[in-house]
Amino acid sequence: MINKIKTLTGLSLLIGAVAACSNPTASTSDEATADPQKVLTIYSSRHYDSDKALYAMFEEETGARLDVREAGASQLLETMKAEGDQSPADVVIAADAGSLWRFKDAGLTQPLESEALEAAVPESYRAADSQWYGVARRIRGIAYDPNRWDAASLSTWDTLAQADKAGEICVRSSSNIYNLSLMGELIHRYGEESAQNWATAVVENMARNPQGGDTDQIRAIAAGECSIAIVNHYYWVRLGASESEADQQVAANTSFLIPEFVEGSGSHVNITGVAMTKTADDTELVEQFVAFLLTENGQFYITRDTKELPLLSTTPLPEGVDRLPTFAPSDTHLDVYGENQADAQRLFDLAGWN
Amino acid sequence: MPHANLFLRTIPPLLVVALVGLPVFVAVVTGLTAGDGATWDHILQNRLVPYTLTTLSVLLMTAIMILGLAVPAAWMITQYDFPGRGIFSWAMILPLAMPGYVMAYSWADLMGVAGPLQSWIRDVSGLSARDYWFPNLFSSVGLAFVLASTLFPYVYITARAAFAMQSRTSIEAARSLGARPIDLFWRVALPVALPTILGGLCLALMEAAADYGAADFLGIQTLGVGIIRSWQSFGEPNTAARLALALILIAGAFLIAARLFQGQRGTQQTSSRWQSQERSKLSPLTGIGVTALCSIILLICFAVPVLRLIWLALENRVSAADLGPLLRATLLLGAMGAAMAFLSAIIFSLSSKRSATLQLATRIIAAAGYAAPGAVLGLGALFIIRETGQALYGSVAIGFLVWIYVSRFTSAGVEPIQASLARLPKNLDLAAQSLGSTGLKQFLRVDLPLIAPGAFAAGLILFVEILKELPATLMLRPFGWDTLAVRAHAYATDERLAQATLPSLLIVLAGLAPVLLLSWRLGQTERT
Amino acid sequence: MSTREPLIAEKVSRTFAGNIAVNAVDLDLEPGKITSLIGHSGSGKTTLLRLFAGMERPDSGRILSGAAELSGPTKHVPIEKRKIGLVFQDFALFPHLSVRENVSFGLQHLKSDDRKQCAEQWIERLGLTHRIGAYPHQLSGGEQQRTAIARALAPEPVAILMDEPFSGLDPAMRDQVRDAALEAVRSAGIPSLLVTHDAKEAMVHSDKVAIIDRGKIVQSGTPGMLYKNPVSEIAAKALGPVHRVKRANLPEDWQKLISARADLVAYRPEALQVSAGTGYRVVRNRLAGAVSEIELEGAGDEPLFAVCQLGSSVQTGDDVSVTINPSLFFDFAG
Repeated sequence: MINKIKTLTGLSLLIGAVAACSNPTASTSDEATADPQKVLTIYSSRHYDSDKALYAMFEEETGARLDVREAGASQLLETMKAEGDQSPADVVIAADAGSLWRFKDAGLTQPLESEALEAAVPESYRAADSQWYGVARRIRGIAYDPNRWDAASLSTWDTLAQADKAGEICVRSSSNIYNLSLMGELIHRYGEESAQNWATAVVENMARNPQGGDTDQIRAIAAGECSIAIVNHYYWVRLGASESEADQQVAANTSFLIPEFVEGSGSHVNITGVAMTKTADDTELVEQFVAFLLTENGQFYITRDTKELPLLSTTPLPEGVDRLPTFAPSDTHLDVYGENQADAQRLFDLAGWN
Repeated sequence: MPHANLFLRTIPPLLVVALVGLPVFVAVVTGLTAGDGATWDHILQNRLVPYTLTTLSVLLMTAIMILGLAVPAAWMITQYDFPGRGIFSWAMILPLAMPGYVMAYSWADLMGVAGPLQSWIRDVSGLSARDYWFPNLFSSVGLAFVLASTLFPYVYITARAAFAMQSRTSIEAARSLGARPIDLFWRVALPVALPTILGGLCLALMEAAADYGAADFLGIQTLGVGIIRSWQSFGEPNTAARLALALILIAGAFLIAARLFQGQRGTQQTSSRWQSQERSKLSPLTGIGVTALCSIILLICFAVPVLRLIWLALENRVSAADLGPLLRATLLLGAMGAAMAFLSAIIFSLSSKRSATLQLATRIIAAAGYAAPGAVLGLGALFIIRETGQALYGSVAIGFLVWIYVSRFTSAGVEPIQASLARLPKNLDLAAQSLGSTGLKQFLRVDLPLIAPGAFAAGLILFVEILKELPATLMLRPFGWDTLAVRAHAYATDERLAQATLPSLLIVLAGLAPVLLLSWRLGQTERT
Repeated sequence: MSTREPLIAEKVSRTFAGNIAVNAVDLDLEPGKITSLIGHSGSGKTTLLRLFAGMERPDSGRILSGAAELSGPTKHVPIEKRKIGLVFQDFALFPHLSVRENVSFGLQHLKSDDRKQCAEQWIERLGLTHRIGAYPHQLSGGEQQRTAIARALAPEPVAILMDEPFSGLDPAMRDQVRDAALEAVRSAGIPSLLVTHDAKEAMVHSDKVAIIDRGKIVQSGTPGMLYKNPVSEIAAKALGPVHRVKRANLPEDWQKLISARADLVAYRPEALQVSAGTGYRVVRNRLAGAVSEIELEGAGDEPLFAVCQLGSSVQTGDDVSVTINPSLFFDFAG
């Protein structure tokens, strides 16, 4: 028995030593054509299968190799802070402007000055100092039961605070970045006190304690537990595009609209964006990558499975996204979301929005 | 020469103890010394008490449910014969292979308002969702249930071992004095086994306290959730580290309570020679009742959630394309981490034999690591990495990750090993010493072979725990080393539960092998 | 008050995995009397005790308490309903209970005050009052066993069965504990079974002795009777040393005295009395406590064995004369 244990221990240590020196993932590319092979290291908070196709395509086009690390934005942030100057990350991809702001605020990014990029991406969708660029758009809106409400009664965000909505609202936890960003804009527009009042009123109107993700809220509408849900657009679109009949049914029984803050103010818009890290070695390659994301191919693959809106208006919309109502972005700059994030969580906490 | 010897003998253990405690220590010290933010005042005033109360109430309910699930079953299986007993005897450990968050995903899917159960109710009765009452998993009780259903095997194992150790003659004496089956349990077996059982319960509760995935998914505001929230939403890891202190305090309290319990009454039986149990028969009706009870436990805590995941995977035609590298990474990290943590646990157990104070100190340090959420330990590692100018890359990253595993899980290894050591007759040490074998040699030649079953069990438990670990792995893994847990979490939190099913099921599968081995081993020791 | 009924085994048999452990045994345990059951390990004595206790169910035969059937072809009263007290070699005390609580364990049917009183009485009777609050791990072996006996007797059982209860004790204190314990048992007036492998214990302390070998009762009767009239060599060996010698090797006058007619006779060493004189030479003299075992060489081919008192001055090499006690010569059929 003791010998078995000794053998097992020795064996595991040996395996570990060997493994530590090798990389067990299948590389996403074949042997590079360029010599020495250029490597672009990406830290991404996205984890979609379609991204793999995206990366493969870039590798094929440029001959560079992409090393991708996927994790939650906060974890990537902490990791990069810990890695300091030694960080291998060249590019950060984050699924919310608030996240991108935090990377910038922590001093982890640097401006990516490029006339081409600045021309391609509208001002409202990139940082003023070019520290990040949007590559896809995502809208937080309202899914609802069309038999109960019409679009007019939900046209602005403060309709959710009204008394007739009591017991009708489903929404996910306040700690989710999408809610925090929305609250960030509300604070910017209305100030802390009004924003907190709004949040408190919404909490009183909730049908149940915040639970699950956005898709769960839409399903709850279809099941009859509530009739209004605050969700990102693409969750609704994905249900409609799903292979499962049950999901398609859910999407068919609900409608989606994009509210404004006041009439004519425009709507809350968020982005998936990229930033160049301070420790990036090959800035040219980074620019190449970002540019690639903004090509038609790149835009197609970024949004194909996720059902986000492409950044560029010229790109054809992914299937299902065309069902979205038209909207105009509000004039709030996206950096505001990140700036107000801590306050947003604090106000949510005070409002009792779990 | 004896002084030099002593020096040599104390330094390596001290080093190991220091290594195990360092990440927690760094995280805590950073938390205490870094500046206050506006956040901390907010947290202190408005959130600390609710977080703590919620955590404690969840832990209390979890404890009750764990005891209810584990102890009667362990008793029945040890003491009585009933249909299917042989199968249950090993199957009861199966839920150990399931991480709490996977249990949460699966049951939430089953019990949710849009899930199969409620949909069926609505179809059949024509009621709408707001017209009927249905148990809500997204509640403190629901969280307690999820945690209890994956953690009760710890206490089941402990209780089995404790009950199996009773002398047969004790039971027969009690019966001759008129004790009915229920008396045998309440008045004879349970009181003697209780300190051991409570020790196992503490382990389980420390695990429950450190949970993040399940609590977050179910929307329950525990300290674990608060810690991550202050890190993610407020962007203040220092605050997170401070909240972790509260968790570590709670865990420490558990541990001290357990030690107090065990110190009280001797768990030694008066018999120096005891015979193992012969199981009694139950009346057919009672027998079937017990079979039904055990079946229900297994159904709820294992079969149903697993089957649901399989069904979801099949229904959504999930592809198994790049699971290979995930599996490899998971198993390699698990093996390395388990081996190192096991060694660490052995060294802890060895060094704690020297004195009771050292024993308590090592146990506290190990417990602090175990109670600290993986995320906080990861934070500690990141602080250390920053201070020493490393890069989280390749073997450095693996080294740190394995270090964190050791820090987090040494306690899980120490408990079974020390329990086994405690059961050894005290004269054994003296006999060995009189024959010239001391210290490490004595341990390797005398103690280790004797506690081999317990040690083996410890190793297996370590492996399964590391397999399921999520937060630290998320933070520290290098490129190409995504584990199954990481992938499952990624999908589930992005509301793509269908895609999460395959990695989740693989975690359960990979964890099954050691769990079954463990169970077989336990069965063997019982028969001797 | 329990009526003092005998505890009876009537042709009970029990087989384990093809081996017959108990073979059609008849044994009556009379009230107020201590019956010893003596045999070597594997003889079936423990199994028989377990059959009496209800821990095993007989394959055939019956166990009765007086006229009431406890075990039989259609009936088996479980242990907890039999009210038979058990005492084990390993004491089997409940480690989490004090002496008082252990003794009170079987008294739950009494009211609290009665329970207290009864427990205290029995504790006093076994001389344990000064240890009433102690826990088993704090007690000596003798104290533990006395506690076990008090615990077994307190609920006024219909019988008490003891499985080698004194073998686990220090020889130095064994006698003392045994005396106190068995006195208490006797005074309870119930049938008592004392399973033992110690011949002396059986002889000194019991009213009746039953010898068991390979599942069968070889012989039973009073100690004196068994000692002097064993029916077989096994029976004889169970109670003390026995030596064999060819009849032809004995002096003529001895042969005329003893009733045994077979060619090979058996005798107890105390059958030979040694005194000063001639005729035999002491070849070996071994001190064995109270007596010396002596090996003698004489006219015959085989050595003879005798015992003599410590006080006598017989040395190796001495010449002695020997007389015999013919009643201690046996001749076993077959």
